Amino acid sequence: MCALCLLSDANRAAPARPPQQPIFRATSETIALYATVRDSSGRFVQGLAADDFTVFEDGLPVDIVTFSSQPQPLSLSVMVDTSESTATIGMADVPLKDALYATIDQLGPSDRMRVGSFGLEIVVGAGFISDKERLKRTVERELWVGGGTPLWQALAAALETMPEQPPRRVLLAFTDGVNTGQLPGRRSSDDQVASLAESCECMLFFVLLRADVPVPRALSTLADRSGGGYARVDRSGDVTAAVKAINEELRQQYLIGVRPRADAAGRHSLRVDVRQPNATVRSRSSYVR
Amino acid sequence: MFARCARLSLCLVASAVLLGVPVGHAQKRSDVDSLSLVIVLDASASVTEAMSTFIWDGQGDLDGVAVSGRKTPDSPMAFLRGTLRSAIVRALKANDRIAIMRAGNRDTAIALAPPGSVASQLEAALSLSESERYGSSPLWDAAYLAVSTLSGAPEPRAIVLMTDGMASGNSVDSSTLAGHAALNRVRISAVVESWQRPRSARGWRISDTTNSPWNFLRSPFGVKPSEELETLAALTQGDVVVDAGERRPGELLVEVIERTRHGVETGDVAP
Repeated sequence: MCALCLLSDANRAAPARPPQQPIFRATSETIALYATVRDSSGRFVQGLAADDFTVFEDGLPVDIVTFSSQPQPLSLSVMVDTSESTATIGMADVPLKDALYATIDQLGPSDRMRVGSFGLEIVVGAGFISDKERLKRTVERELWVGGGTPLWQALAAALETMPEQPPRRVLLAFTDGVNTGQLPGRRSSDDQVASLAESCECMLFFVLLRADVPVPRALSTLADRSGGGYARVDRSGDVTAAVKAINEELRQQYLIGVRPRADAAGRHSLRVDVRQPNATVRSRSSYVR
Repeated sequence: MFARCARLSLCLVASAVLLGVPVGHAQKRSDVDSLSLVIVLDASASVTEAMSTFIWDGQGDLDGVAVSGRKTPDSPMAFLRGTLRSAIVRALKANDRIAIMRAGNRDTAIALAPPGSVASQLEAALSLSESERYGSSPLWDAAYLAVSTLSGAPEPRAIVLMTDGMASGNSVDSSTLAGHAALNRVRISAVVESWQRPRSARGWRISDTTNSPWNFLRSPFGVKPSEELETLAALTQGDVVVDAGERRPGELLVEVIERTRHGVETGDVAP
């Protein structure tokens, strides 16, 4: 489903967008969806209007009350897998620091980010900031390799602190994708991560630091359900291209604010259709009321 | 590193001069029986295991005392309570004021208290949840809070960090901390527990875990864990000692506290 590997052409085709950034503020009366639209070649479809979209909740259409094609500010939580396995397979072969620096350099003026890690210890990061030099210093000075890969625990820990952040909430994880090394003190699973991402309306993106294995199904499912995505290093170990592809996707998302129909508490399905031949839409597939 | 250190030094000196604070001179006092001291313990998994992993092998000793242990998550803390308590008590004098905090507890106010409070303070500092133990090491945030706590205390003022130097999850960077410490005339020292050359205090060589998974951390980008601590110490006239696998955390803590006291007495300070 994810076609980030095809994004190099799309990147070249994407024109610069105006700097204005209307900020969506969720209320109890509206919910926000961030939709990525691609054509059959995987290129981003731009220039769409609210009328081009139809949003369904539990199978029934709902009113679109807010719409923007301009990139919304990001609350970006980056979690770096610093496990031994990644150090052996990933960091030794891919320029991870360059990729993390690229992530920082691509932040917009209204975006905020934090940097955390997981391995022997889980570090969520102190706070979301926009100071790029401070973020780079954190990358260089506060990442330490060792331990197993407590992937679900780390993602859950990061997600637990996301609700207090303003939208758009994105968790971007760099990992070799294998959950090992559950740490003492808490238990987590991919289901729990999915539930947390859903409740805090956070998109999950992954950069798989291995080119020799398929993307684990658990990761692709998490990404799809949350409206996020994934990319992986290519055979040459180019992780920066993967990062840029994800960043480009984040710049190309449409904001669609809808008024929900349901009064009942619980999970409700969401689907976004677009009136565009051969186009596909990716956005989160549910929300919790 | 030297260039950065020199730039920061100049900046700190300039700032201090503007604020009328003398910097760069030893605080010569005759009354050094009243040290105001905060000990910051990095109680995260990496450092507590660094200090006592050899015990887990069922052999060796800690600060020269033979012990035997087993591989349980609470073993490092259990061992460290005893050795640190006796070391701190040994290093303090009756008129000293001390606070003991752990790095992960950076948001909790601390207060200086007489030496008789060491046992209870240490117990509180080392009582942490598993998620905190396997969490971040916000050394600079904790030391910043410690400087603020010391700012109103009688001089000389000092902080000693017990850590492996692998700071993480900080909201304050070490440069900001250095400026805060210099302006408040607080010396920052450290005992750095290292994973290198595992060897017991009695000279028993144990299996080298340097290249094994699980039990150690290192920088993916070649950063030396003690580097920022050494810079901080140089800028604040503190001291850094590295426990390079000898597992002498208590002895080295006493040594650093005594050096701090002696440095204040003699003016023999770091350049």
